[in-house]
Amino acid sequence: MAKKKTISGARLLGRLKAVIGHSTNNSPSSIRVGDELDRYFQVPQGVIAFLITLDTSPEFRPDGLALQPDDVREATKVSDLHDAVKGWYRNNGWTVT
Amino acid sequence: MRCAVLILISLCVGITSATAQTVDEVRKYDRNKNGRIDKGRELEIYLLHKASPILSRYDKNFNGIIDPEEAAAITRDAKNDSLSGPIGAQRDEILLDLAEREGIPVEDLADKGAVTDKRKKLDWPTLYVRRDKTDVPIAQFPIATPDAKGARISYSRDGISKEEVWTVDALASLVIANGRLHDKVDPYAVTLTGYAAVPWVEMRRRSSSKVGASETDKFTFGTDGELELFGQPLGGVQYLTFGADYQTDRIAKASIADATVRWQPYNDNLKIGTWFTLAPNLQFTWLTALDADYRTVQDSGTYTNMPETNYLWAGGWLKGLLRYHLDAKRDIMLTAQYDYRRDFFSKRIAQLLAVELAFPLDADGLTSVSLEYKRGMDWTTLDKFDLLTAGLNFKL
Repeated sequence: MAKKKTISGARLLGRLKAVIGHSTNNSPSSIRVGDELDRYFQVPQGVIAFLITLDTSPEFRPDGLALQPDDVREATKVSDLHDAVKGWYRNNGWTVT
Repeated sequence: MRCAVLILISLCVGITSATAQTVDEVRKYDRNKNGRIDKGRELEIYLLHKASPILSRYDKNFNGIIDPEEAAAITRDAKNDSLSGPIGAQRDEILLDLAEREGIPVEDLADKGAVTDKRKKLDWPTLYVRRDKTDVPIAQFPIATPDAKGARISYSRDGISKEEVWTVDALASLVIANGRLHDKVDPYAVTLTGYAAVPWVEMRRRSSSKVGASETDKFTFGTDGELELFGQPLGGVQYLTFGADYQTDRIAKASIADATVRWQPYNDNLKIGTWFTLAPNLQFTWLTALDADYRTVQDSGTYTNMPETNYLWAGGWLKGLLRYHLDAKRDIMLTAQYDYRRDFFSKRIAQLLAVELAFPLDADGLTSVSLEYKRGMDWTTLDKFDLLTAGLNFKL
């Protein structure tokens, strides 16, 4: 049985902040997990549209991230988006530390 | 130009959440054991911990910050996979800050860890009360959209003609949606990811004090079917809406049947629905939609002013939104919307420009004052406007 790949939640968060920052013209370090998503997108349609950018970004594309609308339909904070990303990794053969 | 003063009452449906602590949990903060949380440091630490799950868990010496030993405990716990939700996200943020910046901004710990206010997913019928149907799309949550307009009761008085006008503009709809059609989707292909059936009823009533002006009203009943299309090559997410409705009035005189189709995209690459930061605290986004509408008028009734029997309108609207953050909950909002429609039967063109500036009054941004300028022709009623309106807005 193949060994599970491992990635840290902090690294995923760093990647997520980088993609949000690039899309919204903000510094990644200024984006905090407790921020309301409506600071960055129209909620939830703008967040759902952002998934295409997220899934196809250089940060996540190599891992094949494929979030879908229902994963973020109830997301209201950056932490919810982070949880959705971590959830996808866990469900697709990764160990998230 | 007419001038008017409006009192606006907006209604939205919202969901609230609450958290609770046991007596033993609260007692930890009574450091001098006098049976109460004293004003000053004890209360300050209690509030900090209440706002931040990560502080509550790791600030063992109750000094309100994460010390190096406590940060080491967070790093140790990172190896187990048990943390999730807000506390897990905040833990990841602390680790990221430690790795990237060798420090943790304490102010971020203090007020950013509150329990997320989860709202209902789709698959549940959801009731919306709005001013316009454009604010009731399939995936929209009732109160998560600050720019959605609520139902309105308004009063206006024309300073020149002395005409007083009361209006009621309200729309109620029930959204029955299914938002999980696939276990996996391919972001490189267009996929149907959700649908909704939206029965709705709309009421508009206008009552004027002017001699010779009659009361006018309309009631409209309809159903929309909406499809959510997600993915490339068109990008982002798109909503395709098919609708049919019937309009009458209080005395069942008016008779107008209507069928419509609308396409509305959201696209991060084009910044449609993405708030793009132009300067510190200043953000911009825009929205657009295309639609076509076939309308047959047997009797136009009192509310509308439609001389022809058949109309085939095609066109769309473009909306730009510019907001300036005053603080976390309050924005000054400038909205400009341009509508363009062409009737293929009469060759009539209807254009309407509406610009509104809104300034929040209370700390939560629920009350605001606004100034709106509207000029052009409303294609749904053929009414012409050159109107400046000042308003006091309240939304629940």
